[in-house]
Amino acid sequence: MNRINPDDVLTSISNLPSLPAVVIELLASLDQEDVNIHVLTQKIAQDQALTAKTLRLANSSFYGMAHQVGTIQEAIAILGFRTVRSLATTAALIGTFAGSTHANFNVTPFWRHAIATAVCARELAVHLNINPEQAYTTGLLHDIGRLVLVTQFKPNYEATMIHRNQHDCSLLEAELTVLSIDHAAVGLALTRHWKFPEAMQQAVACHHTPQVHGMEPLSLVIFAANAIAHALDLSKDVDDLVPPIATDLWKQLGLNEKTLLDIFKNVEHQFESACLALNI
Amino acid sequence: MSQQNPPQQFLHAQLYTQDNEEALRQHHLERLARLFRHVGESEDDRYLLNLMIRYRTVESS
Repeated sequence: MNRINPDDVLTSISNLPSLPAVVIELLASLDQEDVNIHVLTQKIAQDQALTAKTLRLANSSFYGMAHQVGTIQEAIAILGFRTVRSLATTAALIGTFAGSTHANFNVTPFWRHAIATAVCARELAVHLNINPEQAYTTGLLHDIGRLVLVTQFKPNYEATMIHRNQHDCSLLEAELTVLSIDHAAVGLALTRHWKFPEAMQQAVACHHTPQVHGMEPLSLVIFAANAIAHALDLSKDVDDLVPPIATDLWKQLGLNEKTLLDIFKNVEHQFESACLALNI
Repeated sequence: MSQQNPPQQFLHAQLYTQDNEEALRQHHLERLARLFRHVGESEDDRYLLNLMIRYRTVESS
């Protein structure tokens, strides 16, 4: 009775507030090498709401700038285009779901886990030589399917949370049992709708169901970052559970224990100021 | 009110810090047990748990 038809998911996604065109362009450019920085900068600057949100983030203590910046061009000169692009997309995406509330869903642990995964993904990406800002944005959005389910299918999701609490199972198991669909699949549908780069779509889709062999580097990073974020207990969700990770996947990451322990420390160090910057 | 000389104050502060550190370590271990409550016994399952125990006990001290 609480099952959700995949077609209904697609309909609900088309009913979500649309992202500004410039944000869609910024997201699509995350994996492109030949980006026209001048044109994209002008487009961000023309969107006053996006500019204001982006500058608020850029001026937060997280970025530790010596003086406040007043324009997008100034922010790019100091922080670089990649960082400002990441700030603009982050501000827009969080804003899309800013008003999400639900009786059995606390939005604060959700965003705290998302930020922890994003910070961890960026740390892992630096060691694995993949685009750190793309890893950060993907980490931030890896559970975005949950917000679609919470906001668009409230009674169904309430039943899911009750099932999870009664059976002390993982959220994924509860979703599959009650809804016959999980947030990773819904996240894939949303990131397709928003025209995310293919690698980001795949990372969102398989952050709970990895392929042991031949996993894309970004997917591997998000999968590991999600587990580490749960293990570091940064969301402060008392019922949280760490998903299992096969040793083969740790081997694929190719990071020794010393490096992983340093990453844990760096993530904890950056996490609270990242939350403050995003007003979480 | 009893007066403590500086070395006594230092000793008490150190003991207080040690107590706090031990309490924090214990709290972390209890949270890890809760977070990994479904973990299996195989080496595969326990890799991250063992790493986290090391992080919360050895590395953070």
